[in-house]
Amino acid sequence: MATEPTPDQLSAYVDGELQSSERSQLEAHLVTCSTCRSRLDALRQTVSALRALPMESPPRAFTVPAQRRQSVTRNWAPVGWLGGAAAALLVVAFGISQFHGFPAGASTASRSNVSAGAGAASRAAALAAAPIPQPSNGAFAPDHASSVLNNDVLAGQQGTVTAPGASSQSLTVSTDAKTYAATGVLTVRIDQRGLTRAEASTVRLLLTRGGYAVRLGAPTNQAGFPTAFEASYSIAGMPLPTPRDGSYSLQVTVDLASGSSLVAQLPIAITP
Amino acid sequence: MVRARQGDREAFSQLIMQYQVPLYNMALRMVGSREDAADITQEGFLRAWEKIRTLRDAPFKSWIFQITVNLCYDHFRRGRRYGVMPDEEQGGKIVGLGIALPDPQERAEANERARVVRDSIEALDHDMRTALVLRDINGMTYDEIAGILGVPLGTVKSRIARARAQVQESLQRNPDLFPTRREDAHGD
Repeated sequence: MATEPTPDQLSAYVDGELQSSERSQLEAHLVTCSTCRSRLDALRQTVSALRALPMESPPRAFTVPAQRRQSVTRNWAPVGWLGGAAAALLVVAFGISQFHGFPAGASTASRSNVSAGAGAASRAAALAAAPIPQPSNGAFAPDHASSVLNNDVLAGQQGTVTAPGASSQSLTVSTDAKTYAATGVLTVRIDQRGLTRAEASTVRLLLTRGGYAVRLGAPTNQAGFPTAFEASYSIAGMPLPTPRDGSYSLQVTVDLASGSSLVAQLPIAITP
Repeated sequence: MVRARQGDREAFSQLIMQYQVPLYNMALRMVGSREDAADITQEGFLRAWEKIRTLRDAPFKSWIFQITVNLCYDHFRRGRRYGVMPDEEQGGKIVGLGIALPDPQERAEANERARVVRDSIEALDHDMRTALVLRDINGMTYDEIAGILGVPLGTVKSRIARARAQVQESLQRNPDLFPTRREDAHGD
């Protein structure tokens, strides 16, 4: 290479992305040019610094709903199919398909008030319609419930508590959002590990604010109950204090045979 | 892949397991905030799940990265500012086996180096940042990056080179953290 390599060529050389003839010419030039060797060293140090940034594990698990939303059939082209306008249309179509895709038997309030975004809507729609018995203790019954896969949490927020001295015993609670409209639907997922069935069956859900609590009934007739299940509650029907909007806490408690309890709490904001 | 395309959620969950760390880290270096990066990654998987039946011959990896890169651009278009990252060790868990840095001063210096590198990535324009992140964070080839971004190979090469030059300038403003060899006079 009679002339100095360009910055593009040096950078591509570091990446092993030069054609063999171009690479040979560049290497021949480097033998005789200390300036270019210095440039290459500096470039390599820069690349090393960039690659030294640690890879992090995500702060939460990612999940998709059990059933896919219906979408228009279109083969993927390798380039640019999801541009800005197309993405906006997709989001609209997303919401519409969810509205129509809601399981038969869902209450009117549930159908019209899935307001936590497309992702939350899809998850609510993914729930299998199932008859929910009225809780015998007068707790507020869920509209829908289903069993869920292990290790599967909702994307809104999650919390895990483990038993002191027995880390294999854990209670994980997740919700599909952090903030809900007063007419929205709260979806809660529970995953209990390392507990006996008798212990896991003691699971209790409370939505609390100040000294007041609404008991949320667990779907005891679901196949996944009590170890891994999901339940959706229509907030509009809950006997919440007035004003209904405000900062609540979702408290899930499981009693252990040892006499202690696992208590997981997640903040829930309800807006007007 | 075939099972995932047919709507097998378990099979798709395997794809999530395989790609969640590289996708999340791509988004993290693009937008800076862990929370925003997690939201973008989640939405990327949701969109892929909805559309996977339409995927034919294109590789899933390029496809899911393209979806997520586009979501990052949507994020930029909404005018969201680059997230403020806490020190690496105070925030997310690090994946894999790192080099132990028992000395507090070494640890502080490593954090400071990481901060300067993150700042230098933030200072790049979106196109350069994307190309650089896909190459130096995700280790993609120029061909893969060209396919994801829908630009010619020469553009990829040029964006990466310019991005690295800009990052290099930033790092050289911190010679204590990034000592570099001075260029000699030209020629031997």
